[in-house]
Amino acid sequence: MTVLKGILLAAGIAMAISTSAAHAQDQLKLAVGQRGNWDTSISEVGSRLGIFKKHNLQLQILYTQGGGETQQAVLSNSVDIGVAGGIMGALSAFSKGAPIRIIGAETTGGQDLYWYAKADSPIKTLKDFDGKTVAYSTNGSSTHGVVNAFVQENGIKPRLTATGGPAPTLTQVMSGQIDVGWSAPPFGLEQLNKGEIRVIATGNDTKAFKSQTVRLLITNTSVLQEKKDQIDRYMTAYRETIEAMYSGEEALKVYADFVGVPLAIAKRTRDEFFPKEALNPDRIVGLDTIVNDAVTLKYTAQPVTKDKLDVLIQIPSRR
Amino acid sequence: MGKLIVPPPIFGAACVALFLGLVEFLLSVGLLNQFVIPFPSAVLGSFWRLFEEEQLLHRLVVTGAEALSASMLVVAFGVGIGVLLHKRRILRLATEPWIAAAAAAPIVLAYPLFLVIFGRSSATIVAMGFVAGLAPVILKTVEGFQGVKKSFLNVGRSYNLSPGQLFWKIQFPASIPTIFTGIRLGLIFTLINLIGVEFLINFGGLGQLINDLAERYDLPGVFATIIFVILVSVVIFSLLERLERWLRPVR
Repeated sequence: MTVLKGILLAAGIAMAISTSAAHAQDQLKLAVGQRGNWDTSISEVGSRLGIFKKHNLQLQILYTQGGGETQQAVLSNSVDIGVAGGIMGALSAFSKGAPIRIIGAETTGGQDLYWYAKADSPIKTLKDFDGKTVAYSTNGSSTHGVVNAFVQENGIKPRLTATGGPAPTLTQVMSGQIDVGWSAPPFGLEQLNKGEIRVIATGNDTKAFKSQTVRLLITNTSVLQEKKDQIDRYMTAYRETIEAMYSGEEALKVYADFVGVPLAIAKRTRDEFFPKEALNPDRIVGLDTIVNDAVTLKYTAQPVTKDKLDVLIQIPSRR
Repeated sequence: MGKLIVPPPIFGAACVALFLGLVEFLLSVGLLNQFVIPFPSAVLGSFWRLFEEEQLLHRLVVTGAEALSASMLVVAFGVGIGVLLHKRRILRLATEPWIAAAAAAPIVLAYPLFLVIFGRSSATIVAMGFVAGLAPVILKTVEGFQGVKKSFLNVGRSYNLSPGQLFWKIQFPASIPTIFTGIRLGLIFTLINLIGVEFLINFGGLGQLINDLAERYDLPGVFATIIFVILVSVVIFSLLERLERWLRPVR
């Protein structure tokens, strides 16, 4: 009985210590769009590397299907931070008076979106898209924007076809229903490695997308007021994680483990599709174009003015 | 004591109006979050905009055409297969449990498979609607024919009716109420899945519009479109009731 009492006492002490340690960390809830992309994995990788813990933060991450869902979770105060919310959606919500603030850029440019053809296809360059069926995901999406830019900037007339996500698109390309498919790494890299498909172009092959911030880190106004210190620490840890992801193999291994892909694919994802500058959270670029596009695409009724953008964008400065 | 007689439709409309008024009040005093639930007045006010700017009628035609195609397939194949299962006992015993299981399955989750087979087109939406609505129609058709009273059949036989006459003059009319219950259930499943898939693959008519408006954070528009879909469903099912009454004039 004495031994049993001892074990129970030790267990109780251990539990108390672990509970108090957990309480010492501030918790932040995150809604993250598109699980497994290199850019959307920063918080996960940082957590696994202990970077957020070093800043006294414990992240609770839930994954969403996309920008709209992420933004809604932020606006309803279900989460503290939204990762990879769409910039158009943020402008739309803000213009309607919603309590949303931008605390960082999540991805800038379109290098992470690529267009490919079957290995034996005669399509070699963007010019060869002329007259062919070229895929994009859905109307109004960033892939739609890129293929429209391909058309305008290259004077070609492909048949643009909405094919949905990367998986059904790949099937349609391989079965010959579509000539050119689209994807976002790591999806499709296995087929690229095996030589079954070839990359023809990326989003950065358009002038319009090369220098535009497309996804954001967002928060609710009330969260920014009440948890300013935590948000600042989150952004500091976020920046440190990006440094770690581009400075060695450890973060790559963590990412590969998280997504369940070989290390070589994780490395190719980073080195070929995500230049470090694309993840720079401190600069929102291309706003002149984006603000006007938001009106054209019916996201906002009028262009959001510079003064209002200054209210919307509140990126915590580097410490 | 005199009774206050209020026609049920007016009472129903009054309840809805009261509920909307309550939501409007709770939103205006901040007890509900207006960035999650829009003001009912804004929702009602956005209808004209949906017609003018979002081609709501055109989208209704697109979804309506898909729904009509899927529904015709559901009725034709559902009733046909139901009759076949009624006539072939071994087939019925072998397949009925599977069909019942299919009726309860979340078939909408299979949309990626349909996307691969049919591409991102109306064919996928129609096929999904068709598959989702088929099982209840088959099951209720079988139930309808199995439930025809023996005395009805005996009367028919005593008049020396041929098997064809027996089917068309007695079995089919007697089964119509149950078959229509199945058709109504099937069409509900079809419509839900159809609009759900339109939403999921962002293609087609009303479902795609809801998706588009949600992405644009146009909450009043989203809710107005959802209400429009509900109103369309109400019209469809009241038409279906009339069709049933027309097919079965004598009760």
